Amino acid sequence: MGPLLAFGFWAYVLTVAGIYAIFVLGLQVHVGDTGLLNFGHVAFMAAGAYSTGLMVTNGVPLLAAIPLAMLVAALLGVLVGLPTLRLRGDYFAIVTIAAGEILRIMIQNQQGATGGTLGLRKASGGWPSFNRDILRWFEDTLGIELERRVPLLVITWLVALVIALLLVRIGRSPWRRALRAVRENEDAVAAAGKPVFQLKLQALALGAAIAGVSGVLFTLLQTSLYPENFEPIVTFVGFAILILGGIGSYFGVVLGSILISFIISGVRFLDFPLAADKVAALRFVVIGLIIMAVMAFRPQGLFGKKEELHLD
Amino acid sequence: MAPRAVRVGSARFRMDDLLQTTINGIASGSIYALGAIGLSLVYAILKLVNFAHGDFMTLGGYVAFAVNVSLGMPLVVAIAAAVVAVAVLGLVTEELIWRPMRKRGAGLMQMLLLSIGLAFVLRNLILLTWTGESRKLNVDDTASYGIGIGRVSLLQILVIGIAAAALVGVGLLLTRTYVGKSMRALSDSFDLAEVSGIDTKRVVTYTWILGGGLAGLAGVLAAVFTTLTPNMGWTLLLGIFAAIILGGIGNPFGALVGGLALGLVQEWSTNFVEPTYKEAIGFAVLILALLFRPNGLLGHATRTG
Repeated sequence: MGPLLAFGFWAYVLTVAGIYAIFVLGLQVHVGDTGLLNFGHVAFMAAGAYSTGLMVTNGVPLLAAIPLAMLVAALLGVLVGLPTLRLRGDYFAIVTIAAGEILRIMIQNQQGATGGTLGLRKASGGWPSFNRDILRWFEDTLGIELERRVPLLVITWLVALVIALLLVRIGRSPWRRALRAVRENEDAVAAAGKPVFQLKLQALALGAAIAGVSGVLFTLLQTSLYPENFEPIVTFVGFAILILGGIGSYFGVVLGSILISFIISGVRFLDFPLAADKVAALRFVVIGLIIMAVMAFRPQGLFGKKEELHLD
Repeated sequence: MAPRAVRVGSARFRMDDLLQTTINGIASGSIYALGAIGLSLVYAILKLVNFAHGDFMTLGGYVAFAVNVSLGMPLVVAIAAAVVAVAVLGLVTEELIWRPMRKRGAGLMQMLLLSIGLAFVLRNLILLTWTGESRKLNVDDTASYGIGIGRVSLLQILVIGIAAAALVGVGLLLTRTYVGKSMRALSDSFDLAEVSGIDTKRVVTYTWILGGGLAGLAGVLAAVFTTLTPNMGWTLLLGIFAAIILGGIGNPFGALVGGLALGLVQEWSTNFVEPTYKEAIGFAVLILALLFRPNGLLGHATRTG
């Protein structure tokens, strides 16, 4: 394997890590900031991805489709939240997985519109040609030959950075303090005259919109979308990242997503005396063990604060 | 799906469809119920939402496969082996994970997330051992018998018969025996049961034996009735949660009713919509149930908070 090809592969792994980072930043708003145990987070990513794909394949320009896709994801958050946010934590967790599965099964079955299991092709619209333009500009003007995956890698991590900075900024606002108060003690917040239900709904919509962005970037990376890209396992890999990095810590999300992505894709480069499918299974055994070990011995994760941890 | 449109208008065929889907619904509902009773007991007594329960079932299916197909032993032996193996797995996880975690005062969500890690580990160890290829137990899946206007397959008879016997047995155990009554007492109030002199540690042990054993049995029946893959239990788990919530969390008899109701609704729905929507229908039922009867079909309104 040549070094350039290898570089392309690592660029891919890091892009996936960036997409996971954005996905989990949204989850952090739900779980870490508000205390909502959302197990159906992948649905919001699917909403962002498929609404981008469906819009661009029906002639909407990509740049217009992206904000609309975020809006669709946020609206889905409101739709899921309206009936379920009054439920107890463990019920909410189960209902959100169910909602995510309903969405995935519908995408799978509406073959006419979404391509079903055959996939939605050319879902990234004008992105591949725009990517070529960027690469040509770098080569012609600066004389630098970029690997074809580099532009998306840079864009993904810039977006992740902007979202993280925005969240830190929101973190200093009274709104986020109220969210954290909801997480600590809902009744006290209600007694203080804050609208608990609206706060939760807003948090759900914000986190969903962020997951929608990760769906958009996923679409640009993959160009074709398949329903099996959005199985519940994605949410649980997200939880592994969140738990490892630390519930409540944005920096932890970034580090956790890089670590977990390397475990999922990166170990492909190590030589195992095992068949490829066995290696794949072994990776998830490792992820499972990480979740178990962190939950047992360091439930606040690598960077979380123990006093902010609410796992009751 | 085209032939079904032709059938519309003929009452006899529609009755036939209804009968077939009812039998299928009872069979799949029995599997949900067996899984749900075990999960519900563990939740009620130990306050553990065990996301690995589906993978416990899968393991039961594969143990049965190993005994029945790889070793060529009869199905009865395979079922016994699966029940014992998963009961032992339950006890081992109790000793190694759940008891130490409870001692440290771990919260509900901490245990729940831990069980997700355990689910990953189990499922992928199964994948590592038996590969992802779908497997079948050694049961004649073509045999069927005429009953009145419809036919019932040997698979359906096996699943419904074994599940019914197990469910009656569990019902008697919970209502007639000391251990069963103690379990129900613990699920009402762990502390009150303890001060009234019940040996809680022993009851916890029996809970894992019963819950694990039922999961193993449900896994074998699911393997007989559908196809055995490493994802089988995980796919069933959401339905099992739905069954528990439908029946009212912590009520083993509710779990039975919820399981059967879910199985029937899913199968009946195939008379009206594409069968590929079956699972989605089950989840929709779950969401509706939570909105309108949050304490379950058999539950009573309670004060929360």
